[in-house]
Amino acid sequence: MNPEESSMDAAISLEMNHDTAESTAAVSMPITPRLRVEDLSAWYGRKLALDSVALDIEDRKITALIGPSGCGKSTFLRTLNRLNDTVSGFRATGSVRLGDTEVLDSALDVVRLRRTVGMVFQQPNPFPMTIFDNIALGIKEHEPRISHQALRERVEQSLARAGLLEEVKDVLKRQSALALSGGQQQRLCIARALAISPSVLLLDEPCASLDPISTARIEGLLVELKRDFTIVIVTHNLPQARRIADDTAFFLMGRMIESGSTEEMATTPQFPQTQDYFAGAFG
Amino acid sequence: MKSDSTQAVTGTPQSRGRRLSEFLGYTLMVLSVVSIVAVCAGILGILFWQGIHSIDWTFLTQDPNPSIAEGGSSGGVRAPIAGTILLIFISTVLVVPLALGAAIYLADYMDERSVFTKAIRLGVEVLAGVPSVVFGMFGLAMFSAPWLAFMSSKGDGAEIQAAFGRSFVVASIVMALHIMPFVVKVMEEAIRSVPKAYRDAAAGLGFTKWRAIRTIVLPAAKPGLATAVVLGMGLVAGDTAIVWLTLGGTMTMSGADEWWLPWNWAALLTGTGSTLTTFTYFSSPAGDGNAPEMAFGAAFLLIMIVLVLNAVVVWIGRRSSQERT
Repeated sequence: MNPEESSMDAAISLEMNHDTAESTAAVSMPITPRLRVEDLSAWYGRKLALDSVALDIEDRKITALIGPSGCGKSTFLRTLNRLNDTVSGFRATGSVRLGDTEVLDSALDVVRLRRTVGMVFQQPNPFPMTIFDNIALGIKEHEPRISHQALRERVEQSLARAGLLEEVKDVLKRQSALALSGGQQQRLCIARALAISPSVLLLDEPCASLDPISTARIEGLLVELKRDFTIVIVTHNLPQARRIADDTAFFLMGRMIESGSTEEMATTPQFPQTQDYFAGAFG
Repeated sequence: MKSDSTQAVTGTPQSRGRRLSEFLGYTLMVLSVVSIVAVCAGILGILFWQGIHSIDWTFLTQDPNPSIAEGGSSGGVRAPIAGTILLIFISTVLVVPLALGAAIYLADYMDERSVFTKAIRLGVEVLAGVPSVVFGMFGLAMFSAPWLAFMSSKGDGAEIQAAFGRSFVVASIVMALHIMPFVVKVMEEAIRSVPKAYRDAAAGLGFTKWRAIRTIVLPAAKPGLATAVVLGMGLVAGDTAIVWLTLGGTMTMSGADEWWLPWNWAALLTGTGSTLTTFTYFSSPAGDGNAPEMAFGAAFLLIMIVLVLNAVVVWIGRRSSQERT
């Protein structure tokens, strides 16, 4: 929530560049991208999943990763917070720079990285405990000495941020998170990710299992959140990318074919594959 | 053509054949269920009918007649009940931390393809299939070693060549070894059945693997883990061979007369005793005794203990499914 609070030390020193980002909204001045990916290749065992991908992800924008199933977009996303480390046989080479930090550095403290780069998954995955505990658990993990009062405030703040507080504030400590609807669960997962004060938020097809109304709520929420966070979202849903994403990157068979502003990509794509994909020739 | 389609509805020979086989399959299934239920109900009914007469206040609150083996039918089962509970308690305390550690390791840390993993799995399988009498023999041999005499009692002679090798401590340890593979397997299943999504979510929130297991996976697996413990307790309550071999053949507590007093507990634990299973055996005509009504009473109590343990399993499951909705 509050980047000042997150006490990041030298292990990951991030320049927030907030002033720069806001003042450059009107004129085109070069902005340091939040995430700069260069020559990223990744393998599951011997299978090549990403083939020298390069992509700049801008601060405080929504970047959509699109492409057919198996194109590498989820692998790319999960490499940004090293979540694929847990997959046996996974290997990545190249460079992913987050501010001044090399994400792929084997000496990097991944716990700190994941505090900075939050993640929301395709299937809402709240823990089997109360709504309050779902969010408090992550906060307490990183700030074990936090007071009850402060904890409660942080939990409510995060829920408010995710647009869920009004619906659940009376049953926070009583109701199991599993009793919420799918859309509410996904907003809870967003709140949970926001609660540990990340600066980047990764979402892997967050609306894939949701109905149109819940989807619209989450899209609205993401557009609001991009004022404070860098958002990267994997989506299958082209209209969704067009509705919310500032930038889009099109992946195909492990390669990043084309990236740029979503509007340009949709209207004047440079590559025939992109054109076909947007035209619905394959999906 | 018309007659064909009518026949298809009313029944061709093939469709009659299908219906007959459906009927036969269903009937056989119902028959087997009924016979299983009938056998269970019959056993419980006979135990209840025969056992309920023996159960009164004296039966529950008095120690057995030491000479029960010679046919005495006075006294009660206070010491065997206490022995059963004591054995369940100590072996559970011994088995839970070890089994939990092993189950976490097997479920979350082992490389499934390594030879080491396969060796451990094979070991657990084999151990699970070893009859309890073999564990009993092993325990007796092992704890008769003189340097382990502190766990049971020493021989009376001046030169001690062997320890007695039978006591509550010894029986509990052997019992813990006996139920270990079973408890480990059930616990491992419980841990494995926690959805991977929880682990992903925890990793995404910056939990280390161990912290995720500790704070999210284990609490989520709690009902399954509790079930493993309670089922293990049931195994302890029901085993006879290990008790017979490593708890000694005395019907009463040999460690101390007033064994319920705290300052006698050390003597109680290194002394011998009995459980409801060995009491049943020794007082029935199958053993040396001739007090079948006492045997039925004890067997009835034993079944009650096992039923209570099973009810606890059901209750844990139900409570956790309520927590989840």
